[in-house]
Amino acid sequence: MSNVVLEAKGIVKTFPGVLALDTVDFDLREGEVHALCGENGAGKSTLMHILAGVYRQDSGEILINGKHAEISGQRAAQELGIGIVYQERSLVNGLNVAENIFAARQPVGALSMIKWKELYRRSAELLESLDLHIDPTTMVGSLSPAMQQMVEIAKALSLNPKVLILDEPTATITEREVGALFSLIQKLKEKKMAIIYISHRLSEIFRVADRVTVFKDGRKVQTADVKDIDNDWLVNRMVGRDLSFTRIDRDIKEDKVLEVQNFCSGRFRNINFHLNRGEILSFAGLAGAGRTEVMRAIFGADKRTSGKVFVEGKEADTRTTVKAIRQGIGYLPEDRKAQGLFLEMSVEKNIVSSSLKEISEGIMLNDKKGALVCEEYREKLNIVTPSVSQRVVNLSGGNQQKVVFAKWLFVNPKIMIVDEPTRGVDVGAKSEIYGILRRLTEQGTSIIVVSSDLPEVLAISDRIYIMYNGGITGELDGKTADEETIMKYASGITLGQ
Amino acid sequence: MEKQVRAKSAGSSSLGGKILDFITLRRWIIPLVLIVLYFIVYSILFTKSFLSAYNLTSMALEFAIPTSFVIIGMAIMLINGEIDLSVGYACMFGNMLAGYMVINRLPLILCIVVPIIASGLIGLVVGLLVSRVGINSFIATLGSGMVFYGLGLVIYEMCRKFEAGAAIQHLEDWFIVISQGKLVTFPDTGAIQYPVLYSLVLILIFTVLMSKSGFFRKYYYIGMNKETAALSGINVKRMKTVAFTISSALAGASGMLMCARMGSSAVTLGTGLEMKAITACVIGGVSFKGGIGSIGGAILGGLFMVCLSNGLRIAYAPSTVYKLIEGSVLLLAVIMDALISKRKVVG
Repeated sequence: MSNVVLEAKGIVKTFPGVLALDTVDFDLREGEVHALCGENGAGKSTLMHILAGVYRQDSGEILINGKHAEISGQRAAQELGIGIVYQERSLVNGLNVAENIFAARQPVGALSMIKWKELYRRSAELLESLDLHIDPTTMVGSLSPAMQQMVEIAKALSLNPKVLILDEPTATITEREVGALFSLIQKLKEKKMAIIYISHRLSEIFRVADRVTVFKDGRKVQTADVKDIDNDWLVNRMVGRDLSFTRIDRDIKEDKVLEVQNFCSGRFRNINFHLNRGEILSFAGLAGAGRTEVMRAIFGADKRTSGKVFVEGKEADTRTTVKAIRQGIGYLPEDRKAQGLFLEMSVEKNIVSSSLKEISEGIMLNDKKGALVCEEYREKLNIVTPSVSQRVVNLSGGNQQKVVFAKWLFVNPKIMIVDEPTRGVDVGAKSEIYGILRRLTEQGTSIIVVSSDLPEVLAISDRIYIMYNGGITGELDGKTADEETIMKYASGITLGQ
Repeated sequence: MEKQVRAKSAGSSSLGGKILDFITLRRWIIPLVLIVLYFIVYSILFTKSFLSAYNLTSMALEFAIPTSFVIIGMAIMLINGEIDLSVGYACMFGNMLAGYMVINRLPLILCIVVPIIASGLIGLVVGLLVSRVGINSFIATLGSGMVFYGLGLVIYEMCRKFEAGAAIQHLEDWFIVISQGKLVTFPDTGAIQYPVLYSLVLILIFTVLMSKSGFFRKYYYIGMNKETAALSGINVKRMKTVAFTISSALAGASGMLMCARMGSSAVTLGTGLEMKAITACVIGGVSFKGGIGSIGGAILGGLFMVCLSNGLRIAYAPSTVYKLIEGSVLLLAVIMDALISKRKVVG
């Protein structure tokens, strides 16, 4: 058995009104990838924050290499050899890779002048040791999200940590890029690095982790070797019940609710597709393929250079979001926090934000009516919140997403475009959201899903379009589609044939 | 997990923490307490001069025009995430234009309406520049302020030619009555004048609109998150244009009323008015971050500002320190805004 690098014993952490961690034991071995999983609010982030020195535990002990360690702050954690890569990006787009890696710790000479040569040399060495072929003078903003994630990891590694914590490192990168990340993790393992890996994507745990610890409601449920368990075991322990979303094969009649002809802009070209009534149509592809851009242009949020939109056979003007909504189109954006929600506002104000006319009498709002409607949606969608006057910033990711859904359900559009509806959402909320989508189509709404999550695309779609580099490269029937075929289209391989 | 991360800073259990949380959610309490304190302290220290009907009614008049008009516009601007630095000059422009029209003996209704519409139109153009072209409102209104001021000076020059050297002054009764007319007269020559009534009506209308109407509610959404607002089907560009128009029109209206109040027009009118309005809004809980605050709070902030200058005057503070104190109050208010904005309160 390899050495235990880090051990936590009986960690307790309370926040006012919440027991976030209840006597949790945890250990991490040299050269292993130890995955933490659990639903939002299960306690894994709290433990991670304690290890990184963001919080202090109320009681319990942390041992590093068998010795008692006081992690009194983030600086102390760094000195003890604990490095962390947070889910939120910490990189500055306008600076280059080297400046980002050594942010605030640039090698300086006389008069605090930065020694640029040394900075670039050390960055290049670090990147090379990780087999990353990135020029240290590249601007971070021009790198792909996956490469940015690598730089983020390089930044954490520049402090020579013994323990590396990765918090949802794949949340914003696509399936194909995940491979590159995993080979980097493999390389770090060979160098005896101990890695804590947090992810909502269970399939990744089986690909990358050696052991896994499941958290639920602030308690450790179980630690197991990954080779001994399967997906159902994990879900079962996380949710406490079996959660499987079974695909239903449906026959959708051709009845074009939405038709898009020759859509072009700087980011995509010659987009032609249609959506049938009551259908779930998915757009698969890699990040940057232009899917979100097409949807935003249809919804009038971005400009198009040419192309026509037909709603129920009639040409429709959707050049502004106001007009698009009037035509019966709704859009649930990809970035929930920045584009979907008014974070500092109440659940109620968020839900009614697109339907102010519906809750008005004359020019005045009837807030009572609004509150009633919100209570109804809270129940229907199982939004977990103490009250509808709670600010959404205090809700978990899955519940926040349900608030955005509630907002659009209230608008009740004929055509609903949902962009990455389950990104950063835990398994429980995920299958609830699939349920919402299916129920909507049963009521006659037609749905376009943009998703980078292939299992999701395969589970919910009646039909699938695949985009690559600004164009549609393939159309598949949801009943017969498989991951391999989608990936082929998504990476443009089929184009040459 | 996010829940717990936030829970750390949310809801303090100590009494001091609870009071702070309470105030964080109701920031208008701060100016209210300050005003009450001011009234108590000055009633005791300066009973005669402070509690006279003359002093109280002139405070009311000073608050009514131009302060309250400009504060309402500024509150709408800040709530929707913009700023209007041109209001002082818009006030001066409205003042000049009204005076020019009065000495030309144009019909009363035109003397009242034209300055408001003209200021509003300039605000509309600035609103279009900000919302359609994407110019920062700080710079745009700094520029439009100069345009207002320049136009005001041009009108002033035209008046000097017309009146052969004389500025706009000693305006006739048919016009000045709109501001100098008295609702109630007190024995010590103090009187509640018409502008106080205009101000109350305006405050009432905008308080109701901002808190209850669907149209004005959109300003909160826009100020909170412009991107989400646009994707929610709110016509952000149009709403912003309307806000700039309202702000400039109200400032022009206050200038026109000031012309009647003083019976003259002055090129120095409105100087520093934008700072006063911003201070009032921020003290009253209208956050620089946008999306937070109310007309009522801003009005309380404005009342506090009037108390402040009144207090200095009654205590015979040298007029040279007024600016120093007003500036310090603005800085303190902004610091308070920044600190309070950081507090996360559940509720």
